[in-house]
Amino acid sequence: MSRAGDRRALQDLLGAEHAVVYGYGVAGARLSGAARDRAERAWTAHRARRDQLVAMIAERGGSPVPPAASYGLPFRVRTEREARSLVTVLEERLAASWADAVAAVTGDLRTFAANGLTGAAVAAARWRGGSVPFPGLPERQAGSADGP
Amino acid sequence: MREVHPSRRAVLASAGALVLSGCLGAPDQAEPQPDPDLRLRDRVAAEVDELVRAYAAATAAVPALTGRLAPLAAEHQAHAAALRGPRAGSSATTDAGGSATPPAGPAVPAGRAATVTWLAGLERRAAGRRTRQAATAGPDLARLLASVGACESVHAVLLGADA
Repeated sequence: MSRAGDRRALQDLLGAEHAVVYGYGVAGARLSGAARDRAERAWTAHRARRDQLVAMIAERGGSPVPPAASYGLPFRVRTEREARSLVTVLEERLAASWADAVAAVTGDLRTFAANGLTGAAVAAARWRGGSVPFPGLPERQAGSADGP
Repeated sequence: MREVHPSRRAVLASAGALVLSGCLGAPDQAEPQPDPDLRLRDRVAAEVDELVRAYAAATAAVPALTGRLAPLAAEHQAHAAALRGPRAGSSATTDAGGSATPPAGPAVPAGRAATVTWLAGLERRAAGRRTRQAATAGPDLARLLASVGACESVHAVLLGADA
């Protein structure tokens, strides 16, 4: 795949990770106990992944996209249940971004993207409390979580 | 919209027509090239069938696990169907209402915990193969294989927590 194509795919992933880091910040404030701890670990992991993408884009001669000042959330988050639904949806959307990256790149970068998809799918399954047959492929979801 | 656009569209449309006529012409050239992805799809579908058989064997050995395992087995069946696509294909395991003699199932280790751990190991190894298979596939199949592998990893995690 072309260098420019790789950069574009990585930029898309970076944009998606920025949004998820923001979302965990919002959801974390509504979570408590073990769920809050898990959200904090996830937030840290997503920040690390974001920094990794920033470095990968820079290595390829690109200017990493900055985060937006704020992100529109799919629904209001006032309760713990809504916060869990939010992070589930965020991880599902992130899985879709990684799945698209798998198709857009080749070689080692594709393996990197497949591992990213797995990470988001496992996180979504933990928050959801169950699996879906085709993580990251919204066109194959019967009725994925769109709200609490 | 400005005047320039229609003519640009016209150019693109005629380019599209050329591509289309090229496609239509292709079947005349005898010898259909076997799609390399088609063979890979079949190979992976056969591997997924083996997972389905493993779940059936596990459920037969430990009926108490049925409720726990049935949804996971159903997801593997969905994978096999997606891999085979709309082609009039014969699934090796349409089971459920299998009145025919089932193929010899894999040997299930004794005990509930050992059975779950065994399935988790099969899922983990399957997921590893999917990642390698995705590396050799065309873009669309790679995306599907990566998703199937992610699902298998999720199963391994869910089963691991249950063991």
